[in-house]
Amino acid sequence: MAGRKTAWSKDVLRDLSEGGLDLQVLLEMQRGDKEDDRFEAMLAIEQEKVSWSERILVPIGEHLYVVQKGADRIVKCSCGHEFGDYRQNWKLSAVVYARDTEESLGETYPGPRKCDVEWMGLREYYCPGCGTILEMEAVPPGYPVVFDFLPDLD
Amino acid sequence: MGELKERMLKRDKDLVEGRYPSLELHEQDAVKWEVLYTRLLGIVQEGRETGRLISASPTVREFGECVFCIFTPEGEVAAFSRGILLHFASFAATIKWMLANDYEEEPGIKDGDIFCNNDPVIGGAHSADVATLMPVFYQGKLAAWVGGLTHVMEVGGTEPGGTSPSAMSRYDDGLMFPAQKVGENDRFFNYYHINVSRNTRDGSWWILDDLAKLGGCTKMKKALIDLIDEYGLEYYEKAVYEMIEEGRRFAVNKIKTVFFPGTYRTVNFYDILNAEQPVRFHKDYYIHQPLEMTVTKDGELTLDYDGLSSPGYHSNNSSLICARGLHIYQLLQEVLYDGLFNSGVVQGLELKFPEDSVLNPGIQYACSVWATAKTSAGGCFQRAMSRAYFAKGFREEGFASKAITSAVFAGGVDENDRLFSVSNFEMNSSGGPAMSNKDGMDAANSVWNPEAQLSDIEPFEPIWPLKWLGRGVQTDGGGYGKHRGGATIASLYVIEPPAKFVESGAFMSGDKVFLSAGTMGGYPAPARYRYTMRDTNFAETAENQLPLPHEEGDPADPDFARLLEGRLVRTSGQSASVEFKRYDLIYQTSGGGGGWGDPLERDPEVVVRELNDGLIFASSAEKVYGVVANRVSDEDPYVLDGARTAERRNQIRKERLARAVSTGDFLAKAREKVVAGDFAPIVKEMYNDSFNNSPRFLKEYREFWDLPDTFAGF
Repeated sequence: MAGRKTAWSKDVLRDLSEGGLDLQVLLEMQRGDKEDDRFEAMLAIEQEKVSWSERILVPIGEHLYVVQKGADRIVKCSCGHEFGDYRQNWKLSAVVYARDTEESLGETYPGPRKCDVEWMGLREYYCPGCGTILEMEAVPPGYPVVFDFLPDLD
Repeated sequence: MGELKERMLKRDKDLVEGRYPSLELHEQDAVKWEVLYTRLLGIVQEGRETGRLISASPTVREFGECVFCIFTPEGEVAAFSRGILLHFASFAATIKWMLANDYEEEPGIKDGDIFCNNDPVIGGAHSADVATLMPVFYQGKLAAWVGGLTHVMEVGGTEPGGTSPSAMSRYDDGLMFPAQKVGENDRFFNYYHINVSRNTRDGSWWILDDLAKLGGCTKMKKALIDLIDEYGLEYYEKAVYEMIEEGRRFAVNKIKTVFFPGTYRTVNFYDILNAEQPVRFHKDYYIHQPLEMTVTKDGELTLDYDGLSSPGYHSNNSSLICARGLHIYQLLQEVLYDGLFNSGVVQGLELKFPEDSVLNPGIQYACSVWATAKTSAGGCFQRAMSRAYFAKGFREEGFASKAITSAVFAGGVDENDRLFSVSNFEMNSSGGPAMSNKDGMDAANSVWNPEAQLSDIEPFEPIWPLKWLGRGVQTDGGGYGKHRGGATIASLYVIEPPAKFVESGAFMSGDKVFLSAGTMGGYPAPARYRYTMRDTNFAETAENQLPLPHEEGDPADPDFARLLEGRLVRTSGQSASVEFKRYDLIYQTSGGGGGWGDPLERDPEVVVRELNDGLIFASSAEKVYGVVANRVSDEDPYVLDGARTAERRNQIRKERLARAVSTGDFLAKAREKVVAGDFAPIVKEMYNDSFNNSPRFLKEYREFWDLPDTFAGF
């Protein structure tokens, strides 16, 4: 598979990035060979989507990127909010809502469909800039914040 | 030492030390080589279809719970059929075990021999996975093995149906044949099947499945011998090892291409609620499964479960062989699906399951309901590899956690005095996980068998006294998200006709915790439960032609509670077998898939369409998806109000920020509880167990919460 170039159009990759790719095209893409330059092709798409100018190094979530800001590499949301050094867990610089009561879990899980709050709760991590849910943890009380991904950039 | 054992040890040493074969034959004539591989695939597929169609068991015929393969003489996979791909690695391990235990010398390995294994510590997943293995001799030399494996619906044990949720140790798991010779001259020993008949509730499932596997294996043997005749033994043997090497190279290259290098962490939890169950040891368990996945720039992949919980005297442990098997299978299904399905893919993968853990227990532990332990860990792997795909730009791949499947089983004596024992695999149709561009499929499949079919009801109703009042997709049965998780299947059964004795139970956890996590901001699938309703007025209600329940309806006020009288009890999705009477009801769900992305980004038109189709509740459309939809009357469809939906979504984002606190403030408050040890006893027990098992987890916990060096647990 070495040296294989992407044949997907920018429109297709943009739809893929936004999560709205036509199902038939998606299936075709899943069945097809994987290209060696997909990463670069998708980085270009992502860079076009955001309104800020820092160079994206790698996307780490639906709205989160590691970007080059001067000499630093930081985590940044698509809305422009900056979280700090990518080697630190961005969640520690986010805002969080803990669904850890019967009432708060009951807002989203009716009747018997919620977990037992003594055993587990949900932590919804929001971007302080745009209020988007960036990540969610289903963990017991007292569980350390999970560092989902530390990319190897060097 | 036997010749094969010596060859196996040498080969293993070569692979560990990186002495891989060349692809000389492929370079000489790639077409000949590729045709041979394709014909091997044809042979295993033909073996599978032969076995499946001979089998009398609806679990094998309808759900396809079987697999057939060709192995090298030393026990590496050369070709593998469709079916229970889980057994890709675990099946082969049985041959290696036999060679390591000097089977060449005693009992000997001869042409026409038949071996059986259903010991999960040796191969397979649990005692219900019964494997048949036969050596293939060519001109007096052992040239290959062929094998078939089916999930057998009755294997003895504490409960009917092949799986025993109340098993407290290996010795409750059922009748086991640890790599035993069970036949010669292509025929099973009579006393072997006498043993099966007398030590299981209904030996016909096992015996008829044996005949199905013998049929499939015999056909494969003959086809393989013809193939070797055509290609020559020397070419065949050399080409097969080249194919395995090609599988290894493909795996390394693919991982290098599609995964972004880095360190990924995920965690899952599952519950085992035995304190209130009719089992020997009344104790609940809370299992912790942390995963660290490392991908290097060279395509090396390591999975490390350091910190994993200990095994326990419950049925939800997984043997090491089985845990390895599932992870290898997941890699095959989700990443290496376009490569060669053989043992080569295993060679570039490092799997670390701590000793004396739920994924690597001692021999004494029960593995009957292995699937919870392993598929829950699989959810960690799925989310980690999904993020690795995502970062590299391959967003057509990857997904949130898959569901952990359920099953309902029953046994007893029917109205004609016939002993019966049946496990219904319809609950294999759990919800698929959401992807970055697609919702999870409703009522899709199980983690371990991508081809598991929902099955018709008709093959089951004559063989057990559970009759379907309804079967459908559970409303809001998957995790919310920009793309939602697939919804679980749900069934409502009534006991009918009046069997002389009926016991029934079900397996799978997820009552106290969410099992199928979401990702990228998506929600987990709902917690799971099961209802039983006894002493009902079902007969009178039916007699009077009053409405009968067919589904759950409103989870806060289920249809069966609203329309019938009786003793309604909500139990864990995993329930030990208990007696049922005529007209008792059972409601069972499986699991939904996790959601992907923020639900406020879901297409509002899709939300309204699903609301009108009864796939989601009006409350979740409004509260979770922020969609405003109106209808003129209860009889009319909802219509989207686009402008108010946009306003409502903006409002929800503001409400989120208003109720949230900085993570620092949240942690400062949470730390007070950590310092005070203010958790439920089961939570403290879970932490203490992991601290005890992993100095690294203890150290990280201490550092995260800024606890003194003296902190050693709660």
